[in-house]
Amino acid sequence: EEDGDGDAPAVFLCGKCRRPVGDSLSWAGSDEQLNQIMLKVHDNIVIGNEPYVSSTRKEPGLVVNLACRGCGSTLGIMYTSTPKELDFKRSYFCFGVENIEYVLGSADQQVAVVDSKDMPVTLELQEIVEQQMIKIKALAVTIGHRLMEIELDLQTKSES
Amino acid sequence: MSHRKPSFLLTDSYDCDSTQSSVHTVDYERCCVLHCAKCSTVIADSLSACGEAKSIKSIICLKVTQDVKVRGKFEVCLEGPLAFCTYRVLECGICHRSMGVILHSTPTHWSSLRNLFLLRKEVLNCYMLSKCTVVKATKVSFETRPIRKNIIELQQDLQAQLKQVEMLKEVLEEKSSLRVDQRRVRPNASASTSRSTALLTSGSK
Ligand SMILES: [Zn+2]
Ligand SMILES: [Zn+2]
Repeated sequence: EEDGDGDAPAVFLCGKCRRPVGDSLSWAGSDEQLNQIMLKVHDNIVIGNEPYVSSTRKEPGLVVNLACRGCGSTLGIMYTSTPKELDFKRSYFCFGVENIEYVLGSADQQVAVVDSKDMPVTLELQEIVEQQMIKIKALAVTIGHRLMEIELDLQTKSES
Repeated sequence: MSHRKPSFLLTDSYDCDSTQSSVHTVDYERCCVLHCAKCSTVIADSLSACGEAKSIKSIICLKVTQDVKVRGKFEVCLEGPLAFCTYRVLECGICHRSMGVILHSTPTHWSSLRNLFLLRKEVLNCYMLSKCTVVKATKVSFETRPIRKNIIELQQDLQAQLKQVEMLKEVLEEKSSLRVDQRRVRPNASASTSRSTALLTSGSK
């Protein structure tokens, strides 16, 4: 999965209805032992209102279930009360990594191999070109100022 | 259409910028993933979007996921914005809803859109990364950037500066020849000095 753009973010999808439930840009940590990642909780997730005691660790904490807003299936848990060692999980969305994810840029179906001359410019590339152009424009402004200074300099020298 | 790759972009030079330390990183915070509005299947993402075809309310995409199926049959359109085009219909591989078209043969004004995925905005949802919200694709703009206009403006700026540089060079040359003159005949100097100041003031605008 890491070919091409290694740092491209992943969007996590509900295993049942495929609705997006979060992405790695709102990453808040991970627990490798439990195959779990922590994300910030947002609107796509329904937070359960019945806390129960979690028994996954020696020192239990209080958790609530988190469900998919689309289909209601359970996606993970959220600690509402933690012992010290689990503080890093408190109020985050603990999500199992076995769920489906979509890595940005991994869509690979193309009509035919479009030759490079006919390759359309993606909005992303347009953005990059635009950013570079802003830098060049700023340079042009600086050069303009310098020229103005030289001009004034010459003018005062010729007057004196 | 302005979304064809200009010749200076034909190589992959944009990602091997040797002089600048700033590597062009994609601003993922502003990216989105396109989902089928009916069944939520991932259809494409904004990294492969090239713009918008407004008359058919569609997003122009270079690539889509394998979940998009291209129907085998060629169809012909005789009226509407796609009149006299032949195309194949795209459908969601999971719920079979029609997602848009791929143009196969077209009149001139559509030829730049051949062989690209034209996805109808009204059947798509957008998952906005970092905001973690799902919105209707019709609410999101995929318009192309006015790159051509910006390049022309920049070119004009640089041409004006070149003029200024040439003018300054002229003034300097005149001054140095003036110095030579001054050494020989003193009284004639005033005439060409006034000429060079006139040049300076006309050039500063
Ligand atoms: Zn779901
Ligand atoms: Zn679908």
